Amino acid sequence: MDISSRLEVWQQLAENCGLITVQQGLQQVWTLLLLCLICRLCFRLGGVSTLKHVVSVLAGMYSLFLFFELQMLWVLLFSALCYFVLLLTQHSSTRGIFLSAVILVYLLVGELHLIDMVTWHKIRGSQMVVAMKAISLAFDLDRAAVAGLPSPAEFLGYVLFVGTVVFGPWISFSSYKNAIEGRELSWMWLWSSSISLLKSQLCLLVSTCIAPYLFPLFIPIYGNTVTDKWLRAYENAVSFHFSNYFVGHLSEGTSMLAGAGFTEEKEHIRWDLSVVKPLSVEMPRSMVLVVTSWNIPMSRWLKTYVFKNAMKLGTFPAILVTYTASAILHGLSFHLGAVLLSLGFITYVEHVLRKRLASIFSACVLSRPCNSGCSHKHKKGFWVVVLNLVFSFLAIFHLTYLGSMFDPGVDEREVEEGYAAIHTIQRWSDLSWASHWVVFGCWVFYRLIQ
Amino acid sequence: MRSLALLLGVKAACILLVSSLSGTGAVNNSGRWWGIVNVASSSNLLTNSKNVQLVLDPSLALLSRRQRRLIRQNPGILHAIAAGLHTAIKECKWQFRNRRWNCPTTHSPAIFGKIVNRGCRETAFVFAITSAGVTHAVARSCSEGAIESCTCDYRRRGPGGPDWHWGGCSDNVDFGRVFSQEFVDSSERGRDLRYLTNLHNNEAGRMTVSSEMRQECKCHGMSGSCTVRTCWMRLPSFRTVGDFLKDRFDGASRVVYANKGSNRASHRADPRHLEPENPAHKPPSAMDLVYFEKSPNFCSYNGKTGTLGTSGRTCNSSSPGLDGCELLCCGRGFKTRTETVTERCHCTFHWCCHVSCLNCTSTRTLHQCL
Repeated sequence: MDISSRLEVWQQLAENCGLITVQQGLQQVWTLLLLCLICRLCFRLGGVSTLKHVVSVLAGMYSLFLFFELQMLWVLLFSALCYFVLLLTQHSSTRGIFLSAVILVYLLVGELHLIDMVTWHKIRGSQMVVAMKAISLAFDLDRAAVAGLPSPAEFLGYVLFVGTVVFGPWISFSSYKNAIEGRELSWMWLWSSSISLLKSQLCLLVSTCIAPYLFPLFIPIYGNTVTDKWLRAYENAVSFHFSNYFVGHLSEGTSMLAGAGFTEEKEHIRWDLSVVKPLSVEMPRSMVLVVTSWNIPMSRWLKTYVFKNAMKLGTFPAILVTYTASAILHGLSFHLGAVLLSLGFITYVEHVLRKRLASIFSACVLSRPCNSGCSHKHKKGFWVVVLNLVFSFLAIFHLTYLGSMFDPGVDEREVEEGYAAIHTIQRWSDLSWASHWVVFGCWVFYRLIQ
Repeated sequence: MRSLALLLGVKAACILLVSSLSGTGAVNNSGRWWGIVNVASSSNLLTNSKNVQLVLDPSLALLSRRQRRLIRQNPGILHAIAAGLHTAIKECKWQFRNRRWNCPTTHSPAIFGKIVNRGCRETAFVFAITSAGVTHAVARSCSEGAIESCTCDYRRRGPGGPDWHWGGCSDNVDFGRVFSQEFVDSSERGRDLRYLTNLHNNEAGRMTVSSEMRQECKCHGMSGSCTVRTCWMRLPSFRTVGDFLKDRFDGASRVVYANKGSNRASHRADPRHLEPENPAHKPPSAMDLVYFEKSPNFCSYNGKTGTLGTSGRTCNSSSPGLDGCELLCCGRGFKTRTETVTERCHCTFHWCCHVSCLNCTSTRTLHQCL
């Protein structure tokens, strides 16, 4: 393809895909943004805190209605259920575990087709945020990090907080309380939220109009029959990643716009909520970092409320429990479960292998970059860089493989309802289960050098 | 006076019917509008689409009064028609590049030559692909906002509409279809077999474009849930349309004129319709191409039927298929000559931004039919 015809196709793409996508993206979120702004101004105006919580609940409910119409009742029902459970177990000290069990049952019931598939797939994201908030609150109550059971208005105001209810992210109860206080409006606040929203639109554009046509239209790499499969898989993976960055940056934008997500250093307020780090996913150091950069608040939640609680069982079981919890929260669909469990194995093997290699060579090849005071002898040597690069490419390979299944399905219903098990197996066997074999190989290698 | 006019009209219609059934000689308006592709390229007619006077230019006499009215009513559409025709011709040539009939065109107003006055498979293809080309180009221009009387398909847009998830500014294929039907079909006259066949093939071309159009969607939400969807309608690439029609060309059905005496109950409502020549075959569907006479063999020049013959065509000496020298040259044999070609090669890209190339000379062997 020569330059002129390439330009022509780009132009066509811009006209036929780019404009429409941006237009629809804005069309679907502008009311949500407006609601966030209104909420922020209401919090700023002051008044009784109960009134503020009620405003938060109402705005949250209206934004849910905008996206899910009457199906938002499921989310409301779920929130009410959570509060009811917290109320019942007021005097116990295992509220966290108990609430988690109830939520697990609720999600299982929902998953067993009691709610129709399209609806379930649509509200899953919101449901997940509500579940995470309720569970974190329960554990905080157990640890007495939160003083007493919040009032219903406070609780609903927290779980239905307009800035996070549709697209996430998870925020802690204390950050919600901070947001309610209504810090002063500043240029930094407006600037940070606008930048996040701009980034989200860019990511949407990349996800729909650039990633699916990456090879050879944007990067002139032509595949043969073998590599072509992998190039297509990479396109699908990148498209899926960018869709996640779109949601991540959008959620950053909405929650900052609504007044949550800042850190306070003495008198200085920094609006620095960060949900995704695209660069550490697209150019990863390790799969462990990919998993944490994928959705930072969520991985923080998993670490604080699941991993640390499960550490009593030992490291590997704790990792498995964490990924299982994540899979359940994501809605127990086969394909997400398969991806998350594979991720669990991949990150575990990567972690132990790199740890072993680091101690054998005394080099900075751990999953996470060394901090300045580490005891490794080799920090920046040529072969250290090469070894880290090898692991980076391995991570990209795993990501391509895992992301290959999120292709725009041939059948439109499939995308709406979530993919079927057969779809996952089909995609992965097309790539001859390469990633799983590689993980197995790495594990054998690790056992040999142990 | 009025009855006289009516009588004359009937008489004229009869003459037209008889002459077109006999298949030779008569002036036929079929596809006369195709000539505008040459008009358009030879003059600056299209440079100013806003100027209504231009469409009254006498060089557009190839169009019927109705077609000219349509162009006047839809400023900017002439561009789209000419572009669609151009694409259709290019696609026709590409699809038939290896066959004895390779979709030859001339620079005269009768652009496809005499083949359009016949009723063979090739005729069917020409009608279908040109009609598809116009539909495609008009639909695309619509969505680009190049035609004033149509814009994006707002019916399919936004939440609250009849079908909310069909968002965005989709290629307006409905406008393309209706326009193409009005414009293209109006050049057909009569009530005979040829008329029905041509209309059927025109419709098949349009149907192909709209049936191949698909909606593309993407879900966005926390970890792949479907909170937000972005969708857009996408016209097929014209190559897809061409491939599809070529398939239909290979499986075209031969039809006959079914008169009123047909005893099929389903057809009583419409006395004029096409039936497969072989009663055992299924009636052609709306997307099938139909023809009513056998194709000539296209081997040698024939001024009467308007076939050019294959002598001088380049053939592939190693292929046993239709593009092979044996079949393409109709057994007349071929001559071989070598040619030296100079091509730009080993191009390198310099930052930023120019490309420098070397000239490479190579020899190529060409086989040409005698």
